[in-house]
Amino acid sequence: VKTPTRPIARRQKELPAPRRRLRVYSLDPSIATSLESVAVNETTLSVRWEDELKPGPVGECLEVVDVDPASGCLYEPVDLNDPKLLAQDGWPPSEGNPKFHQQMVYAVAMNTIAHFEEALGRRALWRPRRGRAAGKGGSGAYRSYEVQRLRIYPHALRTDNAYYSPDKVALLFGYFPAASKAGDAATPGSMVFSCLSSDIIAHEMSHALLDGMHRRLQEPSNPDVPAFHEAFADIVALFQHFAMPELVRFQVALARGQLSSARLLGGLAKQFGEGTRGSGPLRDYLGEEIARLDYATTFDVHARGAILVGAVYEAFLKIVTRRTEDLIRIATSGTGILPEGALHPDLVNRLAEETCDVARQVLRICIRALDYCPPVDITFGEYLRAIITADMDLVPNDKYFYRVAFIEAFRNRGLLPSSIRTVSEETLAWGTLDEPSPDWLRGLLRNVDLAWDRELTRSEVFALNERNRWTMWRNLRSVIARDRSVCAQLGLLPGIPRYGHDGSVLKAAQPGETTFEVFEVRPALRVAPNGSYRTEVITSIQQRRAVPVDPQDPGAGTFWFRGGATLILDTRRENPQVRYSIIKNSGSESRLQRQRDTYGKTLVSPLRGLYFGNTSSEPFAMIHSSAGGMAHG
Amino acid sequence: MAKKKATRRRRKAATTTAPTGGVVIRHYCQGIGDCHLLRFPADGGQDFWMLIDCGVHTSVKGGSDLLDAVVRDIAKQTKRLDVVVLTHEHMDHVSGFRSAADVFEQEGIEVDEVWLAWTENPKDAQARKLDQYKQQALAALRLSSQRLDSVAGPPPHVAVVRDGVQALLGFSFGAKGERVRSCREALEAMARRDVKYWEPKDPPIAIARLPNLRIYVLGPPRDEDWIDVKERAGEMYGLGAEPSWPMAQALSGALGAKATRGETGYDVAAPFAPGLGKRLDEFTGTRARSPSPGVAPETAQFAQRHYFGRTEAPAPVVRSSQPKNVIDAEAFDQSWRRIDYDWLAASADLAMQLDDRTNNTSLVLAFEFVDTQRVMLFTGDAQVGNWLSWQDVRWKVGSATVTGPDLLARVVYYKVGHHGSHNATLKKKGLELMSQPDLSAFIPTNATDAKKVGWGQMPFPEIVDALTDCCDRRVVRADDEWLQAASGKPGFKVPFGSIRSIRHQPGLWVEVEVA
Repeated sequence: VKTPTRPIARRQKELPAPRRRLRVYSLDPSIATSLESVAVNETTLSVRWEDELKPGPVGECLEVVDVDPASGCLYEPVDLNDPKLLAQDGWPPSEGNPKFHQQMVYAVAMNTIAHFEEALGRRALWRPRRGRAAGKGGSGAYRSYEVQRLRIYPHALRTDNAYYSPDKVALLFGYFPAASKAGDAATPGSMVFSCLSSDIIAHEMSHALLDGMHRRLQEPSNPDVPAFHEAFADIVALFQHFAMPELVRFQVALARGQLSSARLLGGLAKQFGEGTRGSGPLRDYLGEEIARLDYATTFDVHARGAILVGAVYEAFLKIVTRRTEDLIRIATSGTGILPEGALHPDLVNRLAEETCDVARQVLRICIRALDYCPPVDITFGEYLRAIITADMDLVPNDKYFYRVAFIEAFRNRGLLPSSIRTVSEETLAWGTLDEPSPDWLRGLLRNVDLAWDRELTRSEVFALNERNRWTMWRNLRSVIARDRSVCAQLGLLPGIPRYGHDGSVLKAAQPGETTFEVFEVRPALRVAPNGSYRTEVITSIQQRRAVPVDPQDPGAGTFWFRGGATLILDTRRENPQVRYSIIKNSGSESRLQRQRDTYGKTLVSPLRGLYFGNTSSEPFAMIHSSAGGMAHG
Repeated sequence: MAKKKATRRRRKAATTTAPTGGVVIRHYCQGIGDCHLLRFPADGGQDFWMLIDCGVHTSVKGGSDLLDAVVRDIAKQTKRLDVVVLTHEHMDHVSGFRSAADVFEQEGIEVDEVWLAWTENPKDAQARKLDQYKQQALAALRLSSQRLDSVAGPPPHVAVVRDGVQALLGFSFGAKGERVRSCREALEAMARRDVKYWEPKDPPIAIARLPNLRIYVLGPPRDEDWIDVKERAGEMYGLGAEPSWPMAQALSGALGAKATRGETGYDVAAPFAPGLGKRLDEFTGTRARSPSPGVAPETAQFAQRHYFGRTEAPAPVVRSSQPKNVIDAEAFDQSWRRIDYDWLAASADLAMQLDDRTNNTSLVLAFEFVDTQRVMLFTGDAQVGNWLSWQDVRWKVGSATVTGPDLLARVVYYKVGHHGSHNATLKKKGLELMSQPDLSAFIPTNATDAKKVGWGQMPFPEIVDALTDCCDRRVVRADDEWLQAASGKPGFKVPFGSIRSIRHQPGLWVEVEVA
């Protein structure tokens, strides 16, 4: 008899940590006040489980601090790990319970971060902070410090405003008594909290995330730049609606499949809009008002941004229609004409599923395009090019014609880039260098550590990025020292001096040198068409010049004129390549003229500009303020 | 600012028929402020004198001395003012009646009648409500301005709000804190007869001694939507809808709650029921180390770690060049993220709202010469809403009907509103309706003074351009260079358009004969 061999020791794989489920208002508290929509008032978000979540909530990348200086109060932080809360998905929605407010901003904010991180395939980081070192050694020197957590103040302001503060790396939400008319969902005089609107939270979070990626988009170098910031934030807020299947099902059933009349999905910040303006959502992307806007003559930040959002939303609706046509035909025995009355629940489910799918994809396309944007001074047309390029990279075979839908919607609004002759996917996609595999590329990538083999914390990612930036800066400096012609390929000017903060020249450039900055080095993993992985690096190389505001009047001061390149590099060792080079020429006179024309134009209303000037501090606060333009943003 | 090169409507001025009748207007040039002395030659040789406003913005240095000189000059012209018009209750229109009250008296100037807008009538219920709002907003703004002043080293955007609010309060308070109301009362005290309140529904004002003159009251409108209207279609707080005004209340509630530290001053604009949350002073000062029994230790710890105190862990430094083993206190600092004063920035919104509403209560007068049908327009500082309301006003004059647009179309002389700022001269429903080829304009402004207060665009360049265009150069500004020298000459030859003649005394006045 054979003795049985001892079984090889094995262990069942541990299951991944479950997600944390948290209850929130699906849109805002006003939904519950109407009998028609009360069923979809509440939803439960499931967010990433954070082991170290502390009361606040204070997690790895967010800290909610509920200080209300106007009321002189601190509201006690919610502890989401309290067993009582864990057992029932957190506090139930309530306007009168500050702990629920904290829970809701945390949940929606985490959700927005997840959208970004999934689309980009990497950790989202906040903008660093400049400070002056204190203490022994190096005292007084300016340094950049990492900001690990975005801070969220749910009750910071007593006004109809909410904004992202780049100075504080924080979101500030306001509250105010509603001034709506009788018959509106918001009761006149009742308190409206901007931190209870998922749209507003998502919008402000997107500002923070976008600012963390593209800090230069804060400089209004052309009218599209600030409008893009607002538009992008609205796009994220809008498509976040579709992450709530029950809301989509409800609206699809109500609109009988016609998404273009699904008002709850296509409008933003309903309660806030009614509370401030007296009627309707703050921005209604299905409404007439936004459809009438003209790109050539609209310069108000929000209105101009709304044109871009309108284009993306139109593309989305067209794709949905295309993708659901067959379902409608199946359900109607080929006639395509839906019968009277309510839709069959199965059909509603399938339609909603398709819609949510498309929304998820469109949102990803929009976020992923951020990696393909020019380093500075973006225009709407260039954003379209980024969208097309990013999508061609990911989905070479565009079965459902997503890209055509985008191009058509942008063309309908005159948002095409001015530099291309014909409009097609090929012409819109970014180009590359004349020689895509130049000799200097290996030198540029030398010692750049992409850490594919390691799981890193947020702080480690941040530190690694910093090291890579400096590595690549030194590499590029020696590349340029050997071959000055590289400058021109990267949109840089030779011989640019080093400037101080005030625009004065600190150090003239040595012959053959120039001043530039490697603004960022971001690794990205992409699946190549043949199924293998491609390890890519997205890098942004920039330089700045202090240019007089008025060439005739040296006393009028200077502004920064920036240029450079975004490079998307295939780093595979056997054949490194510049896959795309997106150039903003540092020496472009026409672009300089455009920036000069834009400079000094007030982003706020002329009257607010008169009394309260233009200050670069808290740019979003001014733009979002009610008396200076459209309320909120 | 892009200058329009092509002249939009440069018209040939009529020079053939010299109109009869007319008026001599002495515009005083005290800077940011209005004071206009009108002399109408009357039948029987005794002229009719009207003074429209007399004030200067609180920020103008030596403003009250200037006004003393203005009043002395008025006395040299006439000892009797048949009518004094006060367009609206702002310092830059009214301060002189108080600061130079003694000069009025010394010089023996007699005031017969005082004209105000219906919005100033204490017997009018609607006006009282408006006044309640004004007082509430002013009280809140004053408190918040004091609070803003007390902030040491404020963040830049808060400093901007502080200075902006202070400058706006200069429309409502004098340098010594005297209230604008007291200036108006000083004027009312001068009048020999009861104050007259006017509104658009009144028939055109007729003055017995001036049969050739009709005065139409174009504004302020009664309709609250108009008083309220700003540059965007929707606006926040309806005047009529509620017993009090949320924006003012939110501020004063918060400021008041602070004033009674320890007491539970009831803050009506507080977000939650009283009792929720811990007072912030539980965490500062000596309390920071030993919280009071009512505060849970975890809450106290949270407050220190995430707001008041230092961070737990240092923030990593970005540069690789940081020397090791150095404790950088800055890395533990989180005071830069505090929001102690950011909420006060809301006072900017309230200050602008109050300013806008008060300006919109301006008494707007259109003077019509019966024989020539020509019109002079004095708008005070009327804002968008006031201007828009003129589209709907109409009067029966004999068998004819006169409408607002009709009057605008006949304007040959325009006193520009609000020192030429944006929002006080309408384009489509204003300037573009004034289609007379003889149109001329005067702007009571001083760009240098305005810059000192931080108002970079007063007058607003686009408005100046449009005016220059419509008036074929006949725009006189109180700060025009040619007015500064005795030998100065305007950039046009008189008589030209509606200006028959023009004289000036450097630094004090410019006098225009209009017909």
